[in-house]
Amino acid sequence: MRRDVRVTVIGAGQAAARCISTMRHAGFDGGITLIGEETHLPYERPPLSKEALFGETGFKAPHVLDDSFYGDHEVDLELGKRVEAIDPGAGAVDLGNGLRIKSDRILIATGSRARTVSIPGVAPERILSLRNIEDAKRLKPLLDGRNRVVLIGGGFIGLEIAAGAIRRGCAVTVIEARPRLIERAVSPHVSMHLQRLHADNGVKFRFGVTIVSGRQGATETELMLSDGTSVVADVIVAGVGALPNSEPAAAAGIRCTNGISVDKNCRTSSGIVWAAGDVAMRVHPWFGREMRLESWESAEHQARIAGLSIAASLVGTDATEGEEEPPPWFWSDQYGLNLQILGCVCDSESTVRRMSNDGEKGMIFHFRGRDLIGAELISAGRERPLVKKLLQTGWPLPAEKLGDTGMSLKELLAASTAAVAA
Amino acid sequence: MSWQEVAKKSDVEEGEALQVCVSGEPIAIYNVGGTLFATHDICTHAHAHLSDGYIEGDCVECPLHGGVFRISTGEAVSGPVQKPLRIFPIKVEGESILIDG
Repeated sequence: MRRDVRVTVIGAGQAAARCISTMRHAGFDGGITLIGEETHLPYERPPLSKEALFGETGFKAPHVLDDSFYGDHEVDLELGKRVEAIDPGAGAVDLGNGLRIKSDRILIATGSRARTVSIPGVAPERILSLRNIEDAKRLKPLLDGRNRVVLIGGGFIGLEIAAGAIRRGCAVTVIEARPRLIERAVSPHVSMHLQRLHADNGVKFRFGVTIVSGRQGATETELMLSDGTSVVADVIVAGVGALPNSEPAAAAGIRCTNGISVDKNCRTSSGIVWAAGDVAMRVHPWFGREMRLESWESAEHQARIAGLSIAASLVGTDATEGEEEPPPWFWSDQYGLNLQILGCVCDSESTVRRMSNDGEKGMIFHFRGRDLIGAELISAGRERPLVKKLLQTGWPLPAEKLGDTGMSLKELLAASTAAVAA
Repeated sequence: MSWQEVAKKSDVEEGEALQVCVSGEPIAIYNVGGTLFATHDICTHAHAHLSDGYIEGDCVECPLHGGVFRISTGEAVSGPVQKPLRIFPIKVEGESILIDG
């Protein structure tokens, strides 16, 4: 590797850190600059809706890499700085106040931001969101005591906040415009399971309604709903999805759709620019179409691909990762329930359930035609490695056999491996 | 620290793990190919029991978020884990498993 080359990494989250560590492990010993708008070293975001809000005070988000990594591996840090422009032609990144960083390769890992909600009659600062550690610090003291908390959106972030807030003694209402929870990402069975769990714990739901306006009191806000009723809130948190921070890339002429379009190696339409994580739109082999996945696993995986590809491009090869692409993976923790989603559930045409007798634990397998394409695990994380292998092996046997609890998953995996080999 | 009997050899089958408690600390005992190892039972990433984890070779995968640890050394191998697991000296005397904890 040559020492006279340089890579600039824009964004200081999970994907940025993992790409840097991947490049260093691959032997890249040129210069690296990490630019981030937040003043923190890259940290893990999954705890933001969990321990950061409901754990002990003084919570510190775990850093993706050891603090000493950046010094030990000569990574120049430009934290608390905003990228004004990217110039792929000149290999340059402009920060404010005239600072211009030139490099041979650029990774854009700027992530996503919360989609905002505007409600006539309600000041924007009354509608909170949760994307970073500062948001969590602001929210934590509010989710306490007798506050009435209204969550706009029954998605993962909203539901994790609901679970924590209700245990803190708050009155919690979730307003969801769609007829069921997390409609985009989980099956109706899991939606109902979660809804029942939350309702049993005292969370109130309003489905199929939207907020049309609000009336502000001194500290409380009355939210008028589309069905003519209203809800009063002391705290309002919107969790209605995220938007990719792809504007600097688009302004630089890099091809963007809903996010920055990248090829299988996470390279953008500019030959010297890569993108990974929440901001990247990539054809995922498990979906067979361009997807923008917002998950810990996707950020990790794409960052490794990008890191290897950038390092390879600098020594003149065009390496791809080589190993088989693992199924996408996502998890959520609510109360004592751990939900894990593997593969592709949104394209499901039929399902096979493999649940415990009381219905509290188990999994749901999803098929498209005869193909096993995904699985949802309800408090059954121990089986995740076997389910992942099943997804990778495929299931050539009758679908309903997966629901036979008389056979262990290990036995089912052996049966499928044998059938595939035959 | 002192050696304490925590289980019988027959309690942990090959490829399996067992939770025991020593001086108030939850500890996972693993049988890896006939050799016994002991680590702290709680994942260093979130509150999950590694004795409920998935064992493959000499690694255990946390059931909550997929963090993987090497059972023999406690080293964090992959997944969202950074901190290694504490490991405990373990030995077998006759049919008894003893841990120094």
